[in-house]
Amino acid sequence: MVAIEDIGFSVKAGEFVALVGPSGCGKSTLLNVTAGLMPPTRGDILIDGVAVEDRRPYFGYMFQSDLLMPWADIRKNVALGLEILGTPRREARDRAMEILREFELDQFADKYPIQLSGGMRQRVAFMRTLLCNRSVLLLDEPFGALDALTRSVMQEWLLGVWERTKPTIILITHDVEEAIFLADRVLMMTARPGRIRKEVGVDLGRPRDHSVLTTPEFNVIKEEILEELFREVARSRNGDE
Amino acid sequence: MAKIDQESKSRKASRKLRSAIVDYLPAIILIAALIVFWEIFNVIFDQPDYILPPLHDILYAAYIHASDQFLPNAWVTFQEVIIGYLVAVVSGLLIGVGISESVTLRRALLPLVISSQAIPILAIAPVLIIWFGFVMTPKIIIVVLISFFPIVITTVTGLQSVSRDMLYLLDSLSASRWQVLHRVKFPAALPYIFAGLKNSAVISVIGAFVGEYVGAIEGLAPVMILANSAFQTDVVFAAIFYLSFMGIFMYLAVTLIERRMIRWHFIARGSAGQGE
Repeated sequence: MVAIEDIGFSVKAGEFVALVGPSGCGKSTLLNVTAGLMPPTRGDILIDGVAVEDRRPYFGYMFQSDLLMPWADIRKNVALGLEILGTPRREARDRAMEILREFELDQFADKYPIQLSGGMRQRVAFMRTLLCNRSVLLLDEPFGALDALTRSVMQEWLLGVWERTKPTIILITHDVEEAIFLADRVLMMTARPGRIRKEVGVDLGRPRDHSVLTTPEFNVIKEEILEELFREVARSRNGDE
Repeated sequence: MAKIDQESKSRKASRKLRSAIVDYLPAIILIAALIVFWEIFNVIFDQPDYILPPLHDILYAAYIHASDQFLPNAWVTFQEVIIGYLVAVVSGLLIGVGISESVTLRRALLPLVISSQAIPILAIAPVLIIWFGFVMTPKIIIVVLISFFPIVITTVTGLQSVSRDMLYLLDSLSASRWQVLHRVKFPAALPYIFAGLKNSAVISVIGAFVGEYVGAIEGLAPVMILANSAFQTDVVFAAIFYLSFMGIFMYLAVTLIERRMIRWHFIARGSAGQGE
């Protein structure tokens, strides 16, 4: 079965790109192939114009579930990535503490994940990803499991972190508002096989906060994307029958 | 402030005790009723004492024969239990890891492991006695046979419980198989493994008893067989008590280790910011 096909796009350093599409359009497959966790049947992924053998060191991953280890406290959880990459335990944990302090999460350092709320856990997971210092962050519906209010708070928080550290981010989401609010560019995918159908630039200026969500400019972009998405859903439904 | 804290703490403790008593009240009442019934059984149904010796007779037998019969023989049984159990733990964990982590080992080991459980222990026990004689070895083998299986199964289940996304995350960090196993899979498996360890701890006593029953000179089973043939049912029951205590002891010992090793497993959800 072909999950994705004929996909071509590029992302600039420091850019925030969002991928939206109906469920089952192969978004996660795309991320896994991009990050080098799955080999593509055909095609290349170039980094700075070069087809690198092992792409994994360029990408930091984050998922819908926080994937924190319930047996380790927050500091150890944040340090996990560094420790696996070979940083000595002491140093990794010191640096975990530093980043927790930087993002004002240090009062939770010795708590266990189960003692934190969903939003907090997702922040901690993000700290773990950030600490590995990868050039591109792949976020696979990172706020999908959170309630609506927490999600908006987390979106603003993520923007804040991004403005400060400017990593390249590829975000996968099915939430159109989230995509527009966060990204410089929104790529829209079709389902089975997944292709990129449309690309929409988001010229809303930076820095943004939630007030941008109710501006006419925002709604124009939102309408354009939703139109296309609904057309896509209708098309794939007809194809099924 | 500190005073208020302390007051509420002691009040909390007494409330805890009271609620514990209320929680266990049904169990306490039931056990008390059973004891009374046991004590008066022979009176009500007009039976001789050897049918169901009164509890106090059993306790008395357990006490006066403690040093000459029960303790030395219980010690023999206990050695079989503990040696067999430890061998089962080590082999169960190793086989479990092998089955979970290697396709080749899974294909090689799984049929053997499962068929080892299909053998009726009572059928193989006499053969083991013929092979090894009236010594400890066949009993230990039976303990291992009966108690390694739950450990294998729970180890495999536990190691496989790690989510696919977590494995992707570790892969994205270029984690080695060993790192994945000892940093994530094994800690995640521990709550499962302890369920198996507790199960095995209890049945290991049964294994030792079965092994002794088909042929032994020392141990609690020969004591029972002898007493049974002499209609000393109070001694038989006393031996059963010793065996049960051994099982309970094994269970509690493993539970204690569990509480220490996976304390995180017992932390209440969302308890941050409430002190402690």
